Amino acid sequence: MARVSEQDEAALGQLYDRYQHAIYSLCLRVTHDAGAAEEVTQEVFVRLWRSAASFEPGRGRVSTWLLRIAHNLALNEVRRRQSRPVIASDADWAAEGARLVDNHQGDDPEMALWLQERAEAIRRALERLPEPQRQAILLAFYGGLSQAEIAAALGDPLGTVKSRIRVGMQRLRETLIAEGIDEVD
Amino acid sequence: MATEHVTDLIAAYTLGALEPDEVDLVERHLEVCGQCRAAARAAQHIADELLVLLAQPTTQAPPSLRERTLARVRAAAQADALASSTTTPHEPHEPVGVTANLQENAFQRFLRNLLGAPAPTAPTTQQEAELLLDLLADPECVIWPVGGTDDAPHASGRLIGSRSRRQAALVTVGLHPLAQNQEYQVWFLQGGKPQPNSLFRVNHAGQAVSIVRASAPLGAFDTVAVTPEPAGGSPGPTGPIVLAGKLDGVD
Repeated sequence: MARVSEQDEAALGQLYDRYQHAIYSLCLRVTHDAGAAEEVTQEVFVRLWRSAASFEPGRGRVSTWLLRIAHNLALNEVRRRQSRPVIASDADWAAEGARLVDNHQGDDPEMALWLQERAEAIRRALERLPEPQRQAILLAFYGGLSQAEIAAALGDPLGTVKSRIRVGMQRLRETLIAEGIDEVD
Repeated sequence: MATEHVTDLIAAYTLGALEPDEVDLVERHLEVCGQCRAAARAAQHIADELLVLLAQPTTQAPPSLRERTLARVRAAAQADALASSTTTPHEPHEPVGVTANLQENAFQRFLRNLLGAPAPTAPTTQQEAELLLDLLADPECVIWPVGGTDDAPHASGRLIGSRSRRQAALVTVGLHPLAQNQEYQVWFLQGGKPQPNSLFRVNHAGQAVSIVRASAPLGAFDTVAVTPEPAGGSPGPTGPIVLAGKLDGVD
């Protein structure tokens, strides 16, 4: 990152090689559109190039930082197009989850390992949530819907959706702390 | 004075599930409340873990994306350098054509060569310049000629984009400046059916750089056209076509 912040294009290329498949896969999963995923992936690296100097190593991993940027940009793209690809049902999610866990190999072994060791724990933690909580979280995070839109889509009161997201996230955190994936502050 | 705690909104905030006004409320509060900031950090950890599932590389990025990405970064860097050489720190969004009106810059020289028109000083902003350079750096870039019709025989232009992208830039010269209650509107035609697109005005010399974003990749359309319309645009064309160009058969 330090080299990228000094406008070293070779260093940028190395970061691209390391994270390209993870970022592209994230973008594709959110946008459900290969062209949009490619555009967002490119934009992620433009943002990286411009903002590398502001990255603070003490505040997290480069990978997390890049994935957050990719997620935000991909959700913006979905909202801009006003089409809402969503994982609609538990069956869809189960199929997607199985596919995710079965196909975890990227080009970079360290990145693949980092993703692999967490993915299974996160999937298990999600599966332990009551379905309404899981559904609300997935619709928000993976589908790009706001709480109000989730309420409208599911025909549930807004207050119920808010509560499901809040309680569901708290339960996820407790499960991941118990699994040693997240840490107590 | 700290505002009311936003505990109930924090989980949704980290998932990106709040409406814009709620986001503002949360972010204003987080600036002044350490307790809620700590809660937001904890929730953000969970959201970051959820990203991991999204980032499982089940799909390989296309091999050509590497070079296109690096080219786009180069274009952005070029645009940044251009902007810093043509704008002052106090006027970051000043149009290039205004700040550099005494000396033609490289970007304007490029436009002049592209259009074959004298000394373009279209009101090009940093954002427009950046997009143009980005589009031009795309290996799949296509520059479609757009010609003036009988209603604007001295007008011409170029649409710069690619068949696989929705975004493009329409650079025009020779259009008549319109009255305040009118604007030029861009249309993309698919099977002869026009879809409304962006609006633009031209400068005193009849020039403009207009950013367009089509509803589908440009390869899906067969024609681009421009008509004068009432200010604010029309759902369907009401004025005569003054510029038109075919979007197929040009490489």
